[in-house]
Amino acid sequence: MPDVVAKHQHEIRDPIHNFVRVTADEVAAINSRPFQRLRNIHQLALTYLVYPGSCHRRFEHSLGVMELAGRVFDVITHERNRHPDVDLFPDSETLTAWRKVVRLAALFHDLGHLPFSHAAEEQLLPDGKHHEWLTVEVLRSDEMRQILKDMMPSPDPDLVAKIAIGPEKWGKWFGKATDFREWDLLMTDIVTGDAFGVDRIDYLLRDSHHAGVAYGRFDHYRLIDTLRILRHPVLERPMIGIEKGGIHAAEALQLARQFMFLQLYYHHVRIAYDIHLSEFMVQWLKRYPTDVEGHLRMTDNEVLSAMATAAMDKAAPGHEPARRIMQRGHFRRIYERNALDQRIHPNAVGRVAAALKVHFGQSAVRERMIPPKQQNIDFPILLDTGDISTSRSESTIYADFKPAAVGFVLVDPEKRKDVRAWLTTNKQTILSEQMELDL
Amino acid sequence: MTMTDLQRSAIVATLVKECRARDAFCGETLVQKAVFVLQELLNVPLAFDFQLYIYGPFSFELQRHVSSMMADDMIASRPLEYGSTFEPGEQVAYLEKHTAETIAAHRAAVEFVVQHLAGRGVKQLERVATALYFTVASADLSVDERAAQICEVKPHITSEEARKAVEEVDRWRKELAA
Repeated sequence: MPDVVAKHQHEIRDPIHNFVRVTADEVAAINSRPFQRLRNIHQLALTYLVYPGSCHRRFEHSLGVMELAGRVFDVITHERNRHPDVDLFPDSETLTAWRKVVRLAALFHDLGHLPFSHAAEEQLLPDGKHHEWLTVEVLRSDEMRQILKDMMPSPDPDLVAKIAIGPEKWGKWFGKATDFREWDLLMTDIVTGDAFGVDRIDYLLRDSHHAGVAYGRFDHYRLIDTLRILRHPVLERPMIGIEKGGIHAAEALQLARQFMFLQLYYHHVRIAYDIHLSEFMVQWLKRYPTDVEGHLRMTDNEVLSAMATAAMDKAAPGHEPARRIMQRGHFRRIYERNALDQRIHPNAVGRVAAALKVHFGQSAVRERMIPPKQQNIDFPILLDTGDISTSRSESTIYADFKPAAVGFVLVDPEKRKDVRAWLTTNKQTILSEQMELDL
Repeated sequence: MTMTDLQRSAIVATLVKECRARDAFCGETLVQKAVFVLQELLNVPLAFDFQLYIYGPFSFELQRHVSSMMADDMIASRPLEYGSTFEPGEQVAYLEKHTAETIAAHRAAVEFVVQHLAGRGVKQLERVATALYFTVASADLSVDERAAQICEVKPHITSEEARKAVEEVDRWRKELAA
């Protein structure tokens, strides 16, 4: 008999969830090469150049998402929490298999991220593809198939992939959106959902913690405890909703997301670094290796090393953006989308950028428009009376929610003073369309 | 020719305005299914990327576009007893001024969808939009064959409901051809 009995349950210390509990099968998944690669992918790209604490990686975020996925799954499928109008729950053996699929989907949902996460995926991946496409390719690789095959029970890699990326992207690249039946939609919503997806819950809490920005915090314990599968009274379909007692925690999540976007994710200096980083990666790499082996070899480490070299060598591809990042010579904000100017022209940012490019040259100006990231979501709420209402009926936070867009025009720091003076004189002419611009 | 984003916004805002002018509820499902009908039946070149889901055709691209329109005050959301309806926003006047030709060119199409879809429940909208999806994909198939396709992706509806939806789409096509 061995001296030490093999453990079936392991615990990993985590600053957000205290412990992430993992099974032996999940340990094998965590030890895989594709998952270990996430130790070298920064969660928030170069945000650490603005908020020095935000050096955390996709690795610990993915562990946190798995931990939360398990908690949400347990709450919404528990017999005590089932609503009589929802008759979808499979038998307990099937539920156990689904729990494994959902946790693995949560664990693996970021496997396809390029170096520095979102920074350059649109420019570097072909045909409008996003990192989720690579996530599925990695999950379909021989290495990952074998890891899943060795599990007991053994989940289908395509089912894990489908739940990890959701119906929009699955339908676009791999199958049909109708591959998702009602139960599948609920399972993918645990991970990717707009309202209560655990990906969002974890990244808000984790990013907030590491950046030192308190706005991302909310009572996720209360929120998760009150989640229920309920039939939406208007849409007449089962969705993840909440008991009335959780409404304030849900509102806090909604506000946290809004604040974090404005305060952290779309901070103007972070946007400037994102632009330089994406320019560097495109000039240095030209095209991203989309085969699984090539993808697994590319991490932030390779990019940072190349960037440091390029910053010192004027002849190197990507020298200029590399220099701006390494020597903090980033472009500076000169104009920002605002309500007053939007009333004069709905494309105020585009017009200002176009006018500055004409006057100061293309190379001195960058623009970045970021459309709203939050939808006007509506989910069912179980009232104390037993009736089901909706979030927009019960909460002014949801009823009055207005999506927010962000937009910046940034300029070469050496020209900032001249640009500012010129823009002050000419802004009204630009916005009122008295100035002819080729847009 | 595909429309610009501003032209697309003008058509969606006109749809919302026409619905509300008839005092009809104009929620997200109506906008989604009405835009699908505008695109696929009335050939309005909006070019939103729709996929078929078990709840009917849906476009995440359109959903994001609607959010941008809200951020730009082209439409607004007004809460009602259950859910909320879209209303024209402050910037509708700008759209009407700058895209007058586009709106005029497609006004009859918008009026057609409002006349046929406004005031319907979510389930009815889902059925008829799904029927149109299969009719566009394979117009040569019989009513029963298309109804069977609907039931295959939407097992929660009866074959009779599916048949009625397909017959309605066929009536619309005849009406437009005439």
